[in-house]
Amino acid sequence: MDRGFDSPRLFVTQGPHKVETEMVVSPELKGPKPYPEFIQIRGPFAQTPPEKTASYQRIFVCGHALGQHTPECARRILTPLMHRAYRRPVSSEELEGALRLVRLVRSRGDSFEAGIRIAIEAMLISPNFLFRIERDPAGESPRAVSGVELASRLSYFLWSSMPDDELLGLAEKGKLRDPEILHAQVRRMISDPKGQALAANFSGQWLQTRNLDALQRDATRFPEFDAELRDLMRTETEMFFEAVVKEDRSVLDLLDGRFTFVNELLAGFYGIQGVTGREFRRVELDGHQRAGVLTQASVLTVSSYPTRTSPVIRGKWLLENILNAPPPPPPPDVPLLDEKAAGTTVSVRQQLEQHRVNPACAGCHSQMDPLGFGLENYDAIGRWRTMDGKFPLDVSGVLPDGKTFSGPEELRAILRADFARFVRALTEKLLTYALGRGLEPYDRPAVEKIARDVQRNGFRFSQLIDSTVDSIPFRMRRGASEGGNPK
Amino acid sequence: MKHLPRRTFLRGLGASISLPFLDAMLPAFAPATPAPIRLMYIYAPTGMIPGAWYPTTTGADFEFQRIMKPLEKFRKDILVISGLGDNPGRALGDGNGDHARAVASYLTGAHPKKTLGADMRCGISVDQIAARSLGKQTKFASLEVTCEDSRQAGECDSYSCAYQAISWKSETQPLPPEMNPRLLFERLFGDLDVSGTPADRKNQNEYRKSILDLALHDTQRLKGTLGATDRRKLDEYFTSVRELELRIDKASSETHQLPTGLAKPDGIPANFAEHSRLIFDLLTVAMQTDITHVATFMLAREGGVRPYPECGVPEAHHSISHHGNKPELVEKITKIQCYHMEQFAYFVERLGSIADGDGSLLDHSAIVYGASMADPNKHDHGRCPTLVAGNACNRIRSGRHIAYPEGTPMANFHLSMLDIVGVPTDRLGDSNGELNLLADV
Repeated sequence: MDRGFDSPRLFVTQGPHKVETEMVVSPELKGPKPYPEFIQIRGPFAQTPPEKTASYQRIFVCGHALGQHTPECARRILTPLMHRAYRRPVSSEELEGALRLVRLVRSRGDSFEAGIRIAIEAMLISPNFLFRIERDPAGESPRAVSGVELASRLSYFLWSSMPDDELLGLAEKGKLRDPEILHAQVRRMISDPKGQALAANFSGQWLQTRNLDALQRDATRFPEFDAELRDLMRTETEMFFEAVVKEDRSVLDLLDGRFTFVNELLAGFYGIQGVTGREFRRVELDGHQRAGVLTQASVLTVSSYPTRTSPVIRGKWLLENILNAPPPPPPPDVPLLDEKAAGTTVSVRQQLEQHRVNPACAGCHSQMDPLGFGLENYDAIGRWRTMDGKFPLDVSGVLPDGKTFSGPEELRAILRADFARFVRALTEKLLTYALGRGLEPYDRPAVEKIARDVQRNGFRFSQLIDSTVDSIPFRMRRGASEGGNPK
Repeated sequence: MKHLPRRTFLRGLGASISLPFLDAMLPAFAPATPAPIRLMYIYAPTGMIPGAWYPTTTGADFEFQRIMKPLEKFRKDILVISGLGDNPGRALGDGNGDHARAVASYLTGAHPKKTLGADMRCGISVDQIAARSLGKQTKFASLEVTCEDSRQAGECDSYSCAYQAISWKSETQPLPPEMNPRLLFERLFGDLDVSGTPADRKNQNEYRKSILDLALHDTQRLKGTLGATDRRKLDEYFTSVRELELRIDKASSETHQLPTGLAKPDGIPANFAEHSRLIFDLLTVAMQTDITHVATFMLAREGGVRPYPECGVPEAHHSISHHGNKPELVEKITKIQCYHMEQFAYFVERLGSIADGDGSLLDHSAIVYGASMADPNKHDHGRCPTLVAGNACNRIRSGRHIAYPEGTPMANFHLSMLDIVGVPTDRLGDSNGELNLLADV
């Protein structure tokens, strides 16, 4: 199958890798363009014996070689595994259920290791592993969640994963009740590599950048928008968010932080000079064209149509995610923009202005559209521009409260000056994420308290997390009578 | 959201149930049984331009309008029905969210409860009622597939995104469709593990059953200690585990074999025609090998923003659906609807080409193709474009266009389909009768 080509052998580490090919074609070549027909990857050539692999050593903790285990090993192996999987102390009856499976497998003549495998499979489909169980004893009214329940809430909030031994150990000793220990754990978890999950998952959900994967762009208008560019856009936003969290910056930096992360390709896309190579690196921004998440290509792309920008969608996006004031959805039977005319016979802005003459539309659109106009300097994949088709852009706007601005820099200044609204919006989104449920009217005092704490303490991101962790909805359950806390 | 990937453990177990290979010749000597009827619903999203769909005359010699044109060569297998209305998809005092309601109400006949929270409620869907009975003989009671992911958390068109499903197993349990052909393949055919002796496979099945027994035991123990919402989730989990167990039982007595020429798909093609045809191919095979007899397929999201550059429409589907009667926009949305139909015609042709008992797979199927809105510009729930391909073993008199009084509940049609597949049912959603013309053989 080598077809006469070189087959280099490489050492690669476990995990996802990107494979690229390059075809160098002589200019004299006639006929149809060649293309790579297939890429074949073979291996591994030298396999590690099973008992030398890290996973074997972590599971088979009694240290015997393959085939040398004694029956007592099963208990030693399964006890810590089940403890971790269920994220709480395990009863002897539960352990006995798993041990019975090992015995069943052995009695059928299969190996000890096969028995352990079956027992682990059983743990992994047990509701104790699959669900985050928080008990609601009948008749009990609101109560504080238990130590191990709190440990799980923390770890799924900050890591999107199960508690590690340290956190679980402290919980079982009742130590998480001590605020100092609890907050030391929070800090440890944020600085742990697993803390990256908060940046990726929360920013992706809040800013909707995880929708990037499902988005398409009109290939004739945006030929450069491909899977790679999409990944780079998302990476930029995740790294930016992670920097705000890990460096404990002001949450307002999310609005206008004058730095970002790019690699050569993304820097070229933005017109940033002097970045080479595939690795992302931090660059400082002058704040004119770009600053904060609002002017990152990821956000500008998810808030656009496949063919063009939409000041309406961007305005709605800002109202929902930054200003905490989602507009109601449009009524049916609304007239649409003339797509063909957009940018050719009449600008998008002129069309929207006609639309707002209708008083039924003006109510919401006078809130949405001006915000979107302030971002019209960015096209549907977030590139800087000064024209809409053949029309010069008008990037000025008047907000319903009478404030005026021109261009993204001034719009950003207005949003920043309105920091109380932004902090509240961010607080609601983060608390929703932390709880894994939508907020209810009775959560309002908690939101207000968190937002107040953040404002009083220099807008530090760590304060936002600490106050969220200390909030009543994060620490309490409403109890069985209320139907529990939907997960 | 955060807990979703955990489902993969369950799926993993489902997929790793190996299908024992018995003698591949066995079916040839099996006693003759009547061909089972396959029931499928193909959902065309975001309305249909009425003028390019509805025939102008009723009866046998109706003219195929532009969207339906690709089906003309199957004229004798097509029944066109007009006049059906999706009344529960209307606002009925709930305000915005027509697209969300259109999806949830389509096969349930139920008006979905407007909520963003965990207290969602709609109704059981027609395919799931059929699946309860027909699914007893097959490895999967039903399959739910799509070409556009709808499993998002959060808000979709003023409703919880969980409402973005046409199949509802119960009034609180929507079934999210699978969009990845490769995962669908793995679900259908497992790992096709043919290694090992029959005794090995018997042991494996027994181990898996013991694993599931333990899971059921854990579930029962937990139930008493939980609040109502969590208890319901646990119940749904319990049912899934039970179904896995039954599937293992069935797998021991079945003889599925991968048809030649079907390779494992690599992933999700970006091109809609390729993607949908791959899924249609997998559905064909699933029906052919009796892996299931019931399926629903949402071609794309209702009110979705997918563009269709493949057929000359680079704009977002939903945005041009509010066409304001501008001819060039009407033309574009019609193009998308024709393009969807071309893929469906491919499916009909495939089913017609596959021998099944005394006829073709198409002869033994009833495949409903339709939308839950007519003109999307107006969110018109009043006359849902509907057609049925295949005559379900001569229980449907095909080859004609029948018109009911406008606004006849869609649910009445669902009841008549249940009759045809042998699962007579008294009521569904807002039904107030049955359409007896349908089976007028």
